[in-house]
Amino acid sequence: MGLTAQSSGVNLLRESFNIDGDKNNPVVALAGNPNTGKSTVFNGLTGLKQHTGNWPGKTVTQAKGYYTYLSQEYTVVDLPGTYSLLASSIEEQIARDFICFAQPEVTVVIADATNLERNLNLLLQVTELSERVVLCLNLMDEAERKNIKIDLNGLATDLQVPIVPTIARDEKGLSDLKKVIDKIVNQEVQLDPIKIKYSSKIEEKVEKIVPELNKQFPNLRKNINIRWLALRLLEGDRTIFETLEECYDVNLKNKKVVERRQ
Amino acid sequence: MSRQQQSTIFSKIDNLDINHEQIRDEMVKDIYDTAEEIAERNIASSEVEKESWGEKFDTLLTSKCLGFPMMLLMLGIVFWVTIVGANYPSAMLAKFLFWIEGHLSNLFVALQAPEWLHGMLIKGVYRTLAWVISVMLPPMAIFFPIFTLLEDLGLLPRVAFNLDNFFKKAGGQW
Ligand SMILES: Nc1nc2c(ncn2[C@@H]2O[C@H](COP(=O)(O)OP(=O)(O)O)[C@@H](O)[C@H]2O)c(=O)[nH]1
Ligand SMILES: [Mg+2]
Repeated sequence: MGLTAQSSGVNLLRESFNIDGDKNNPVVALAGNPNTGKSTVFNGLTGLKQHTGNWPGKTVTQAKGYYTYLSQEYTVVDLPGTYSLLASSIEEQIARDFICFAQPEVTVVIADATNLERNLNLLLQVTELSERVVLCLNLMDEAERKNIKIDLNGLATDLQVPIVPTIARDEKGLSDLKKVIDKIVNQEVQLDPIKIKYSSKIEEKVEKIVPELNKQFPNLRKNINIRWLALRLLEGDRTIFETLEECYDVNLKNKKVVERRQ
Repeated sequence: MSRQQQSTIFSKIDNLDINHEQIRDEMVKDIYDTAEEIAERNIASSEVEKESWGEKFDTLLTSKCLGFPMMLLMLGIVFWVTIVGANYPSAMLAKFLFWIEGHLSNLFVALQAPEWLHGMLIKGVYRTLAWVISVMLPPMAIFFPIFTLLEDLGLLPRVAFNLDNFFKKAGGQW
């Protein structure tokens, strides 16, 4: 099993998000704008094997569930519906932190095929955080009804992510989705999705901060995407280090656990 | 990840002399532009779809000038139907329940129950219950089904959309 929970550090971090690290399942996160059929996809994938609770310390509902594909069990997490990952609301923060720190094996961005542009905004932000991204184009029946034709091959070439068209309400396309997820988890496909290129003014500043971050925190690049961190610092996010510290603390604790076992 | 390392980073950033707000806006713009470009390149909408009846209604309900009056009118009608409509079943319920009270009292007398027991059970417990039921039940039985209907028709989300700005201003969402 290729990417399955590489280190117990990630597992402990996942536990801090209420995701069972002990199960060692590959984790599939469902992200998407509100009302794109996220919960419908979630239900279609997991059936009755699901739990709802709250995200730790938040009043936002967390749904997680399980499905088995080719005798491998997967854990699916329904992230709160958001339009962006800029962390300007609790929902956005949860979605962002989960993708960034719990590092799901696959993040499925569920998009409304009738409103591609607005949904791509989120996808473009997710690919800044993770390479393992799938675009699930849901509501294909609505798109057809409205006479919207999407060039799936062209889109896949532009975005460099696998695209799965679905009609979640009729459970159409979900087995394709499972297949694509399986391929990514087993590293049968290597992904290098599109990254936003910002204006040269911003890129110059990123280039100045990245080496400094690498110098001050040489171990950080193992855990998170430094370019992404630089971008957050550039937009004035000063709490990001606190979140990172929490993540680091967990990792330190993990070291102790390992030592004690030896 | 010491404080000192962090402040080194922060001072480095401060030295770059950036307007964070402006950077953030520019980033968002770059993201939106890229999304727009990619979406446009890969969508072939063969014909521009006419606004359906539902969509027209939608723009009306969430429009700047008509959104609020429509919303108030709608809620006003719901309340009016609830309050006025509840009077009739209320009166009927009260009549029925107090008719039962009379018979219960007769029963107590026939059984020669002590007056304090009659006072407590009939004049106390039963009468209070009867009042509460006849006053509260009909409005609830009218209001909640209508409200559910509004929700299922998608009118409540549109009200929420209209009110979103106000709640944001009130700090309901940080
Ligand atoms: N026509 C159509 N409707 C769908 C499809 N998938 C979901 N829906 C409907 O879209 C609505 C929102 O779905 P939901 O899963 O709650 O969206 P969420 O907010 O992203 O979790 C529901 O009424 C679903 O029945 C689909 O593929 N086609
Ligand atoms: Mg949902």
